[in-house]
Amino acid sequence: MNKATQYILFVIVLVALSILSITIGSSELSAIDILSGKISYESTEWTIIRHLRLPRTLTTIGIGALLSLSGCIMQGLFRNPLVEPYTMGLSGGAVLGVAVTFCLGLQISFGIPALIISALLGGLLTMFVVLTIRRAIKCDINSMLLIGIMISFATSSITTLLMSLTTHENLSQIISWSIGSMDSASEEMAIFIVASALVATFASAFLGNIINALSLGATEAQHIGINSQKMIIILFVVATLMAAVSVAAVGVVAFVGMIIPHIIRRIAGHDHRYILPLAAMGGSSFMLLCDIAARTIIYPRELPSGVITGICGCIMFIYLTSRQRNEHN
Amino acid sequence: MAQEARCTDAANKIIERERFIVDSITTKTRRSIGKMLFQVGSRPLFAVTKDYYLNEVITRVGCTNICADVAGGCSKEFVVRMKPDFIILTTMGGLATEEEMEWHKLIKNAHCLIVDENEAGCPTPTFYRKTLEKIANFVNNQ
Repeated sequence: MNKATQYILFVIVLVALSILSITIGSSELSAIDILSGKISYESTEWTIIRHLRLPRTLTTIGIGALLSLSGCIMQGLFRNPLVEPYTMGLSGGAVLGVAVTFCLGLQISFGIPALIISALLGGLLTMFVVLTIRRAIKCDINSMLLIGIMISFATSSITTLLMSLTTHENLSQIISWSIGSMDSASEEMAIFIVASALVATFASAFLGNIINALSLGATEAQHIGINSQKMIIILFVVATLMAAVSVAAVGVVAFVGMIIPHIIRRIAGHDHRYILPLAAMGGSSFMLLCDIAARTIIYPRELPSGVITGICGCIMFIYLTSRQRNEHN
Repeated sequence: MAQEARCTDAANKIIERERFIVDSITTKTRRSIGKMLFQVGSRPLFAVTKDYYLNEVITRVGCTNICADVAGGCSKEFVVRMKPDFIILTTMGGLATEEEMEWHKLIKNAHCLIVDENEAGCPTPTFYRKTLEKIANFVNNQ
């Protein structure tokens, strides 16, 4: 299958899943009814589409793209298919930020924006700690991965400590934040997330060449004229920002950043100029599919999307790994 | 508890006083005033169901609980479809104000009231009466 066909197929799947996401729910509304304007602007159906399903669908698309791009960049950078924002401790840092906010009661004075800002700061602070330790001990990029994993354990332990000291109301809020869910998607959030995802997709397409060079190794990249040390930091900061924005918006959604780049590489090869936009579309499609399942499986209740991505991602990863092993044998 | 603390008489007096007020609120209340959502948690949306003692508050003020038969959490879409006339929110650790704004946007004619989560969630006779009184006044004034 050539590149153009792959792009077209990914776009078709993404558009089809977006339409499905908008039409499926408490009452199935046909896409034709929506597009032909048969639904009155005053009706409950219109309120549901306009204020709930559309923002949710757009947010899901954006979050999927951001997480997948972040994972794809990190995997290229570390030359390790197990790297994603979650394993690097960025998601853990964001949850720690939220836990601190709840424990200090800042959400009482400043509301939901306090939670979003604290999650963002938590993720960025974790990145800063990883980079500072790397600089202090002058380690290579593989050791940087180990530092990330250790920081992840540390943030997780501190979050658990805070959870054991706080009230049960705060405890349930922290737990629900640590399992990503799209039910808090609003129109403002959807606009911000989609804009971030678009900027990230275009920016990462320009970074594709550099990631390709760094995939050969930092020294090899240096030999072809790339300032490896500087570019590693820039790419790490870009990937962190993408992950931190998504965690700040909807909580921790595990596995998207790991499994989607992995699948895309198997389908489309290892050229990052080409696979980064595909990873964005693939991540969005996977997130949409998981979100549709999350809100329909046990209707009228809802599952957090993070639960579905975790289960699906784990099964898919084991399947792909076993298949890869069989192919090698 | 009163027996253990040897103050049964004082406790009985409190219970009688609160029961009298609760009964008077219940008899004053018109039947079938409207549909109500009593939200006790956000992310995920968690509402009072028929198994909660707060469900009795909803029926005592003459409303129907839209989440009576829902087990645990429910979706916003479900609530919008049910079109509640009244939405009672506990403070939910400071997140109630944002939730209230969201509900006003989603359900134009809904009336929202925020109640203290420590009072509403504490099943003592006095707190039960206070919560009931507050909600009854709110419902009857709309």
